[in-house]
Amino acid sequence: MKRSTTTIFFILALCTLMLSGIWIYFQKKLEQVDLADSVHSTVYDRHYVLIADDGNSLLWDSIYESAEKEAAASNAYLELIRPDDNPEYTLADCLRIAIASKVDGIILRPDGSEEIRGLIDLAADQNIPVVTVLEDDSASSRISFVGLNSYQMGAAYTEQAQKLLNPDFTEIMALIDSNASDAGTNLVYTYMTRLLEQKRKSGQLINITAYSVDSSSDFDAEEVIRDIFVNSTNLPDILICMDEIITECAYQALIDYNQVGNVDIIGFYYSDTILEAVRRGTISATIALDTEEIGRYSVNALGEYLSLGHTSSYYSVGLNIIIPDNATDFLYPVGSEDLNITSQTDL
Amino acid sequence: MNLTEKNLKEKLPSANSMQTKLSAVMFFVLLFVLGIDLFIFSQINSAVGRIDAVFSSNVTINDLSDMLGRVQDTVYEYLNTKSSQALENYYRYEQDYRELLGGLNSRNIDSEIKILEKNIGSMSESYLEQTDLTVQAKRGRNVERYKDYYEKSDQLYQYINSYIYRLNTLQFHRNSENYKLLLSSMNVLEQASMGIMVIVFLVGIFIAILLVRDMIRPLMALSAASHEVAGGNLNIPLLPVISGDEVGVVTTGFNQMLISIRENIEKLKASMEKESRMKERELSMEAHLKEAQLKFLQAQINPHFLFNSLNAGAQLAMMEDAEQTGIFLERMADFFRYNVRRTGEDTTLGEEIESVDNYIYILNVRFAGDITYTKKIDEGIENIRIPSMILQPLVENAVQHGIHDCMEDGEICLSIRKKTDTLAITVSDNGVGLSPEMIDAIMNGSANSYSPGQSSGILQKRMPESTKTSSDSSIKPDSGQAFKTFRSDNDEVSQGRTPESFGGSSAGLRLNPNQPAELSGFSSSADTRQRHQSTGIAIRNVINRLELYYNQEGLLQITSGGLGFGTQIHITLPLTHGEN
Repeated sequence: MKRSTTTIFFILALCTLMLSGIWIYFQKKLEQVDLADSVHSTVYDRHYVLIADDGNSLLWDSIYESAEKEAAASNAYLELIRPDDNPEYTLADCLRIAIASKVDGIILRPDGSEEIRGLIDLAADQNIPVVTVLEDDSASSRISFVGLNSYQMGAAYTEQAQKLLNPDFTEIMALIDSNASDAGTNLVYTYMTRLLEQKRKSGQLINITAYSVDSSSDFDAEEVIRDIFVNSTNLPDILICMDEIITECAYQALIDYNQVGNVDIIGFYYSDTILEAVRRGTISATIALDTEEIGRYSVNALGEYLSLGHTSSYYSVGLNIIIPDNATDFLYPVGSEDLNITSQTDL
Repeated sequence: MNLTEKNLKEKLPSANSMQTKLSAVMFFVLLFVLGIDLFIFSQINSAVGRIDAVFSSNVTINDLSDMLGRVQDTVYEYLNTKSSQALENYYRYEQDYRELLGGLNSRNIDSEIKILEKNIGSMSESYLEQTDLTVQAKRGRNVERYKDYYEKSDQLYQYINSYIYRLNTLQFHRNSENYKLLLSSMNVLEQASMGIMVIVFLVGIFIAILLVRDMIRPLMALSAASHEVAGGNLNIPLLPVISGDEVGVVTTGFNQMLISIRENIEKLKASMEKESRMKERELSMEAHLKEAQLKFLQAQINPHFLFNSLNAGAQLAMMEDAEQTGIFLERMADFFRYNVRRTGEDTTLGEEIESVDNYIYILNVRFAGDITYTKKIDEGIENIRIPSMILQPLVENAVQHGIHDCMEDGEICLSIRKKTDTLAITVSDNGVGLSPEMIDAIMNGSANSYSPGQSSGILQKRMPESTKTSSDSSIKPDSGQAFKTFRSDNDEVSQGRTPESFGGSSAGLRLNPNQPAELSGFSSSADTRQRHQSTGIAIRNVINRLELYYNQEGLLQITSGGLGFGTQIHITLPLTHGEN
């Protein structure tokens, strides 16, 4: 009887243990239920908005990542508004929404249009500071610009193109996103043209042409670039891509039309595909802005403005030139912090 | 029945009863099941509460969307018709909408949904500002401005709607995830609960089986034991009392019953044995009596004839002035009359002593007063009752076998001493004596195994012929042995002797000096033959009668200094039995 009693107590204890286990499991599961309440969330003092005008770009992801981290550090919540959220909405709509939402600060890449400029001014009227990144609209009431100036970008492209110049004649085609064909982009092209002209060796002939790629609607960029490879009897020796999507499309077309080795590509920014292409040498080089600095500086600019009432109107960020030698570092980064340090080139 | 229950309740503590045990087990199992059920219900309730909380947000957002639509519709209606009803509705809906907005988040929370709520709230405020401006411009009939304001408010309305839609979508996705999570949790809870319920069910059955087994096992043992007892086997071991419940009480009762039955049977056995012994003894006594009576009846004809003859002889002797002869014949008659009359009865000690005196007198007449007979008798013992024919056979035995061969030196002593509660009778002689083996043989009743002529054989033959008629069953009255011989002797005396020849003192009577022994009737050749043919049961006969009379053994003892040193026969009689 004693042994039986022990067995029964053991089983009952096991049941109790199981019940406790179930209870703990169930409570944890219930806690996992997202009620979006403030109990388990962080409450911030400020609310910034980052308007990404290109939903497919990894560039914005990277910028948002660093900016969000910086915003959280300065007790601010950074909301990312993508055109993907509502495909019918333009950058202006996003900006209007941000203004109507009465946020504490807006980060965006202006397209140089009057509408955007007017909305930036409207935001400023409503005491909403606006920081422009990558592209600047100095005529607007933006409080600060974070990025590289067109000259630096032009110089970077020039430096890489110079390495690829043929001794006699080189045909260079610059693929410009018509959607971002603002003054800034044009300036980059202008500076690049000028610098190449200056730095070419005697006897070297260079023909630079600009090709506007409309990427405003889906799939257009890819079709346009394929047209270049299909229709053009004389393909350029060097393709300079001033957009991430354009770079990927050009790379794919290069492979599809078996032009590897015949056409060199200098890309903009990077994705895994681009980095892999650089590592293989299919893409000669890609110019990448230091997105971490862009995000950090833009949030800092907003914070500084809201705190002090003023901030620097221009924050210059670093530039990464990714070539086959250092592509692996970007493909398989040891740590995100030292990712850009190893490859940063001081211009 | 009520009394039995009451007794059982008194014997059995309520904690030990089967009812309590079964109730306790059932109570705990059901309590455990109830606890599990409550636990499951609480978990389900908690989950349902969560689901409610999750989906209530969707309901709120839908209300918000509806109300926003109404505000927008009333603004449009007012702008279109400028009706006061539309204006009134607008203000009412605007108020309702503002109230609904109060339920939205207004803080900068690290959650996409909460930020959307905040944006919706902020945009709604901007929107309401625009609608107010629109309505005011309409009321002010500023057509250009209210159109502009309406356009802006409509744009904001679109933004808010898209945000509400997005919020709904987000919440739907989130709620779907939550629903999946809760569903999986509920499934786990259901399965685990089912598992635990099954375990509890099995444990319950296990406990019930154990309990019932523990209850049934002693019952089965009890049943088996009852069957054994019913079959008559009472020699089963007592059942162990395992539990203190009703079965334990029944088992204890059964054990007690078994013990009682055994004790009763033992008592009954003893009682029956005792009764059997008593009956046996009674039968034995009756057999002895019947036999003695038969012998008496068979023999009494001749003794009566002899008594009458002896009396006639005595009267004749008196008439012829042969006084000695007359006395002799009278005492002879008394002696034989006593023997015949007292057979099968008890008598007083005084009569027994008188009989011995007569016998000695006769012998002394016969042996010319050679026998020296002394009596050492306490006073006041005459009326003590003892079985008849006890002393005379012993004295006769002492004469016949103790001093027979040295009659002139023979001494016989009869000693009767009254003690506190016993009477000590001793018949001693200074005759040939007995060896210890002989004494044992006599006492064991195996003396007849000794051959005649041996000393032991002599002792076996210490059966006086005078007692043969009444106690020796081996002698047939018509066989012509003891009694017949005696009678022929007697006849011979009566015929062959004159009364005068019976002269001499009482101490030394001698019938005929020439042939005293042969003609005396006490020492004839037939007497000698009879002594040799005697089976030696005389002493055993006395012993048996004493034992039967007093229902006690060891009353008679024989001692002797050895061959040639005489014999003493001791009889110790309890006074309580034979007094009066």
